[in-house]
Amino acid sequence: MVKSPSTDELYVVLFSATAFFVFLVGFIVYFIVLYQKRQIKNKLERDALEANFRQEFLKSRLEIQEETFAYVSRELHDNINQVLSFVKLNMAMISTADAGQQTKINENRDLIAQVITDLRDLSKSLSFEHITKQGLVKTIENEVKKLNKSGLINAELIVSGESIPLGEQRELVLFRIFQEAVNNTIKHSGAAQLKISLYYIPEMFNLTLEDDGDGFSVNSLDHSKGSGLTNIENRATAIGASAEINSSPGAGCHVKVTLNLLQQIPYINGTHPDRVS
Amino acid sequence: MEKAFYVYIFLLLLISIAGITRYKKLTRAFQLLVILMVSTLISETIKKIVGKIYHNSMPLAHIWAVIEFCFFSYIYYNLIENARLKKIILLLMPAMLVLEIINLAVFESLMQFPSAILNISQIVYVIYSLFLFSQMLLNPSELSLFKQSLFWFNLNILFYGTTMFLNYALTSYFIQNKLDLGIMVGFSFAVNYIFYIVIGISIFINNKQVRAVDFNYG
Repeated sequence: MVKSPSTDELYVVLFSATAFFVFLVGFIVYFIVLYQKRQIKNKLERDALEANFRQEFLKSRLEIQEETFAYVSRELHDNINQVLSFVKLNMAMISTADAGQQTKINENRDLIAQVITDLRDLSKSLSFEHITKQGLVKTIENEVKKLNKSGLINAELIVSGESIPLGEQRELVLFRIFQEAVNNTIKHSGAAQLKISLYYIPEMFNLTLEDDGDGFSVNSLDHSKGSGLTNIENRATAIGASAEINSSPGAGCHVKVTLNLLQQIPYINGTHPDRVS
Repeated sequence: MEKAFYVYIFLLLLISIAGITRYKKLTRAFQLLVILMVSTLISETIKKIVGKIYHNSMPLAHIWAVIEFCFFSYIYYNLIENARLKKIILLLMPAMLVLEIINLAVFESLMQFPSAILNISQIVYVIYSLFLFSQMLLNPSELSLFKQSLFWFNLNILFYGTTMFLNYALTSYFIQNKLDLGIMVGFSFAVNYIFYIVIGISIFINNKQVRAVDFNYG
């Protein structure tokens, strides 16, 4: 005998079916939300890995560059300078020349002496040891003196605050930034004045270079072609600093590199895992 | 009812044509899905003809239930990456054949609807889909979830497996209480339409070239 279903039974069936679909939809919504969260998390992790890779790559490049500089510096000092000194000495020993030739020889000896001095300066500016031994302020001071002596530009150096060591590697990179910026000014700006400022504030260090040259539109620069300004930005990034380059046609150029010293303490102590070796 | 069946056959035909057209662009699992769709079209047509001639097409339904299970299992075998699960899936195929033989010998004769085998199949499909969902969560692709053919296919299997299970349960209740089965037949057709439409969508958006961007899935 078949029992006909009561209204209650039908309600139970209806409720069960509804509950089933609600559960199914709930599961799907939960899956979608969870999946999207995982996607975002994965993307963030991937971005962090990429940034880390870029940083490592940049550091490797700088290290290779430093090694090359050190090699060139050694070669200039130990080989070329020695040979030139020997040539200068040999020339001094020529005694058979007449008065006219002797004058020429003396002129050449002066020129060689000048080349030896220039090469020694160049060797010092390329040498890692020299820069770290002298410190950032002293090295920049010497460079400013050389610039003024060369007559290429009138450079002025201002040091504010009590200078503190920023760590050998940081100071080396900052000095390379300084060199790059000075090079750009001399090569491209046509500036007559260059103002270099080093600001030592308790929690902050700033290196600023301002020229009165032709200036340029920052937006028009092709960063993909590895311009000197891009190098400045890359070097700053490698030591955890930030570089700000402001310029406009006719208004000169302003380069500002900022180091947050509180963030840099592990770098300075040499305990930070990302420090440039 | 005839009309609903012809709509169903027409749907299968459309999906088969779309699948064959895109066959070379599809991943291995979706190529298998296309073969399954074509086979389903042929099987359903033969069942209809046999049913008209002999008034019972259940022997074919018994054979097809096992073939369809093997097809879906092999599709999941291609989608799931876990080696142990893959082995289990391979073992489940002959196991289902053995179950069908036992079912024929003990529970449902060749002339009866193979509900036991179909119910077990639905449960296994739901488990497959849950495993695949968990695999997707472990290796999320960069591609938007809604653009992933795998998501639609797997969601569809989960929906079909659970809904058809509910359908069998309700149908059984309706039969016991001598209620009008028209609603349940309509519901069954609706679920089938949705199932095959979503299968069609997943075949349409599947692309093996996407794997270069996508970590695991097409």
